[in-house]
Amino acid sequence: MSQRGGVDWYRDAIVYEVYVRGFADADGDGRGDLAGLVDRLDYLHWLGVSCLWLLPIFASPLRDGGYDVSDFFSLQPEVGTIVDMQRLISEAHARGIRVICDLVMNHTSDQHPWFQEARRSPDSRKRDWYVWSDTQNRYRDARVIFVDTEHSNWTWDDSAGAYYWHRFFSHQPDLNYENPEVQEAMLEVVRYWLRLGLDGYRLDAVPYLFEAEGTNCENLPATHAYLRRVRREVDREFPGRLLLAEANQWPSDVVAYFGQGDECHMCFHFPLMPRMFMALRQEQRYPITEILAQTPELPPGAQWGLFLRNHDELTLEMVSDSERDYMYGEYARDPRMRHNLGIRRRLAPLLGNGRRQMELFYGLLLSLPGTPILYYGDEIGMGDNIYLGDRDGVRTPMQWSGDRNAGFSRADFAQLYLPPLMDPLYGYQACNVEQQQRSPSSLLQWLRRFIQVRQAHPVFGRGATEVLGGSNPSVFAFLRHLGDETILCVNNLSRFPQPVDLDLRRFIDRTPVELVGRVPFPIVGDRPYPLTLGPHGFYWLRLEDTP
Amino acid sequence: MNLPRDLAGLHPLAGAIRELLPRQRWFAGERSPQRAEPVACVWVRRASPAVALTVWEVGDAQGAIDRYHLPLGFRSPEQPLPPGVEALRPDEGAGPEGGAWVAYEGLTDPELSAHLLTWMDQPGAERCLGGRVIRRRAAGSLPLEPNLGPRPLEGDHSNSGVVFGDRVMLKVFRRLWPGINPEAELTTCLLAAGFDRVPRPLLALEMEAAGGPFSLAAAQLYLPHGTDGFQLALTSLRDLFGDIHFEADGAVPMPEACVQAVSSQGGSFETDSARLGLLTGRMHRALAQATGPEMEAEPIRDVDLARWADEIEGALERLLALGDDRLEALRPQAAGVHAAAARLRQLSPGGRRIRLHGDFHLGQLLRVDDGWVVLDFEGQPAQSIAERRQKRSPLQDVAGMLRSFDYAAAVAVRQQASPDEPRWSSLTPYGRTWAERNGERFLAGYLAEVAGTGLLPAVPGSVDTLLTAFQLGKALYEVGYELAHRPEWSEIPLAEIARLRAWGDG
Repeated sequence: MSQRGGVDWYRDAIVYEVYVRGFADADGDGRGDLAGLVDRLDYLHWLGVSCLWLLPIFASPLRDGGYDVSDFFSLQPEVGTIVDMQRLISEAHARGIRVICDLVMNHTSDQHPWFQEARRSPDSRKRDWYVWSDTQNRYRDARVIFVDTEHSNWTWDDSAGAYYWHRFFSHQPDLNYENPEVQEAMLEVVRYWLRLGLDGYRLDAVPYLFEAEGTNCENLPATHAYLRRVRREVDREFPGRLLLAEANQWPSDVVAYFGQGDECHMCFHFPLMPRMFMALRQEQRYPITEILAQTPELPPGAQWGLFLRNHDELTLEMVSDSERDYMYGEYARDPRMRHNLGIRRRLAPLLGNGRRQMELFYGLLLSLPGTPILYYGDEIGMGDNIYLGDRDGVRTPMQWSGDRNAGFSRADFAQLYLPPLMDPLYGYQACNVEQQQRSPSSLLQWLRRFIQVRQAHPVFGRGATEVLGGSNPSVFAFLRHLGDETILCVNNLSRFPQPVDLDLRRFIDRTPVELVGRVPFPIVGDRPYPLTLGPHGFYWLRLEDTP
Repeated sequence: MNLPRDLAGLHPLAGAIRELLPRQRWFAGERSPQRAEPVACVWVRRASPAVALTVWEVGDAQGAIDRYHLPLGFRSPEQPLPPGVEALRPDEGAGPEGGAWVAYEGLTDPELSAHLLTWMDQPGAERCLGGRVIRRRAAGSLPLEPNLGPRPLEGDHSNSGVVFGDRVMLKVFRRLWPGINPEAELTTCLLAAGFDRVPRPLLALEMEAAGGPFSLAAAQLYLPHGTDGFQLALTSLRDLFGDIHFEADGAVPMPEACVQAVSSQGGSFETDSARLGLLTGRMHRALAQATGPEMEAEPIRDVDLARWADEIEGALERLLALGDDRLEALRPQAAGVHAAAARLRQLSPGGRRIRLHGDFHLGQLLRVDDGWVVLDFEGQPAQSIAERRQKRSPLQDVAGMLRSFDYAAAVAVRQQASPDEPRWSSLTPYGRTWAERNGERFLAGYLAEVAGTGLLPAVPGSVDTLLTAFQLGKALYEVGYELAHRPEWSEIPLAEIARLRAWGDG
């Protein structure tokens, strides 16, 4: 295993989110598979990735990208077999890479045998595994999440003769966690894959496990109690495995999913990302510092998961209405770019393919407190195809080379699960791994270098964070501290060059040394410390003792 | 050290003080005063370096009298002055007995600021030369932490500021007006009403002396990491102008092009403007809850409307009486100003008058990490305390903010080009559109927040009439201020007066 093998390895990790179907196709059926992913592990190892997060691979009718599971104990046939999974885990472990998987606890597909049995009769043994009602009037305070497609959280089922409860799509009935059998069944799923060697789960949509009348049915105490039970069982039988929760809530609410360090190890920090985009467009640090100020301290061992973009839309649930209007106006002028309460775009198109902006954003991702999560393809600045349905626009094939089908598959073009991008700017002829590995100045090479720098300094993953002010609102400066090590990160959010004066007097006589080139900067004196940054420039400066 | 024992002992410094004053931004006069007389002095510390807070009465040729507060440092001649600090040279032949001490401007020495804060943090009252001083600690605040490192703040016009350890801000008031400084009064009232977007008051220092009482200094919680609203507005305008490319500079853009550019602007300020409108509304609602004859809200009467109309016309008369060539542009606007004042007088009274912020503009709003904070409730520094404590329509604050959006746009244009460059006339319409849109968002946020409170008159059109008149009044004040301090900027309010007049006529 990797050199950092403690039970809290995730705090030093670089996570890479893989859409297996879109990553690499080994058997030439036009769809990516686990065997293809195994073939590309050397590339991920080269990039510096230390943990893979696989988007859903469990058996599914695939009406929601695999988040509609029809069997928790088998894989989608085109993705591979259990043997392929075992091989992926052992090959990844051989390279110091861990593997975690998406697990949807909240609901199943309506094709799942549990639901099929439940709907058949009120007397069925599985009937009480789901949430039924004779009216649509229960739990009225719960919001509808997928507002583009769903009007209600209740859907009538003819054969059941009742309404069933679903927080997401109507083909995804929610499991009834009030039923102890459901609780046990899901724990059995958790154990099954961990026994196979899996390193943990990304738990999908955890706030919605339990319902209660008169509440918004989110974040209920019973939900937390069950997650604590899952954590206890995992820690006892499988120490060192990871639970990463998806709770798209305000940080002050999300923090509850860490419990007292006895629930989830990691949670995503959702509101940070849209505010980074706002800060960039407004050329001021306050959208970021405001959300950091609202982010509570974490219990020991807990860690935020940070991301710039992921497989879902850029989520705007966590911004105010006026901010959402603003974000739509800024980043999604074409209505097709909007989806539910978000924007479906990849990082590069969101930033107008600006290299400096992408570097600044990766700089922030790698230096803000938390574990960075990269979305496949964003390391080479891949584009998106907003004309594909649902969220497919950001799930096109990984672009490995300028060869046929972007080097993703040997299948006939027409057989591919989605067409690769072919436009002159982001298409695979212009933007692919092979070409960027050969070009020393590529985004890929640049990112790899900065991942290496980050990994050489545990302070980035584990240190405390202190936001500095500074004379210029367009400059966002903060300190990371761990033990004797202090790193100053200074970021220019403006497209114009900017000066800033920083109050560093408590580090008087220290020498700031730039982390990448090891260039010493002038010694800190008793006056405000002046720095000048180029457009969207940033520095990581280690405050070292002056020799 | 043989320090001065009475006020006469400070006399030898009078010449140096007269030299010092005109170099200070907070000094109201333009040149050296004819005389300067020490009228009060309190010793903060007697061991070298010693600190005294001194009050000087200064008079000019016209006989006008002002009082200024000067903290002074005293060192024994053997002890060197801090680096970069200049001694105040005693008048020829009137030096201290035997050269017993060397005096200097006290706030230039961080060590002295620290002594001053420590001393202020010991509540009590005591006699001093020429009067009596009272040190107070704000209700609910605790003794300060010791040894917070001081750092002088730059850029304040009316006070001097020192920040201690990013925790405490000491404000030293310079020009002294008789009466209680409204800041403590208003922030206490706001906090009591649950409006906490103000810096928390910690300490106050007052002096009872002839012509007083006077507020000498106050300490409040410092809010680090802040940027004032004017700077952020300029950031937004810089972004707007950065997006505008000209085929040929000097071409005046079509209004639709301006609206298009501002509404699709990346670095928009409009979310913040709306937020500031809400904040201002909340502030006024809190102020309107105050009790006691000095503070409580009262209905606006005919006499109030008439007085405000008189003020506006009076400001116009005073400007025209200056006979300044640069004010020729104002003369054709006089009829419009009188018409606006007449409309104000004819309004049927409605709404309430309350205690206000009084000097409300973007520079008084501080963006900190968790939102916006309102600063500086001292009121207009050029007004007497009695004037500042008058109750007025809350729309006077709103008018101040609308003027501030206009200023931000004009200043941003001036950062890009000078008026004789072609780019200037191309950018100005974009800046105007920015100011209008942000003003509209601010006003919409404000009106939504105060709706149903009875603060504003209910009769349709009254709010517009009041706002136009108050903006005119504010612009007239600005013309006078700019002529005295930055004549090249007097164009900014003059242009606004012409616009408001045109709008008011329509």
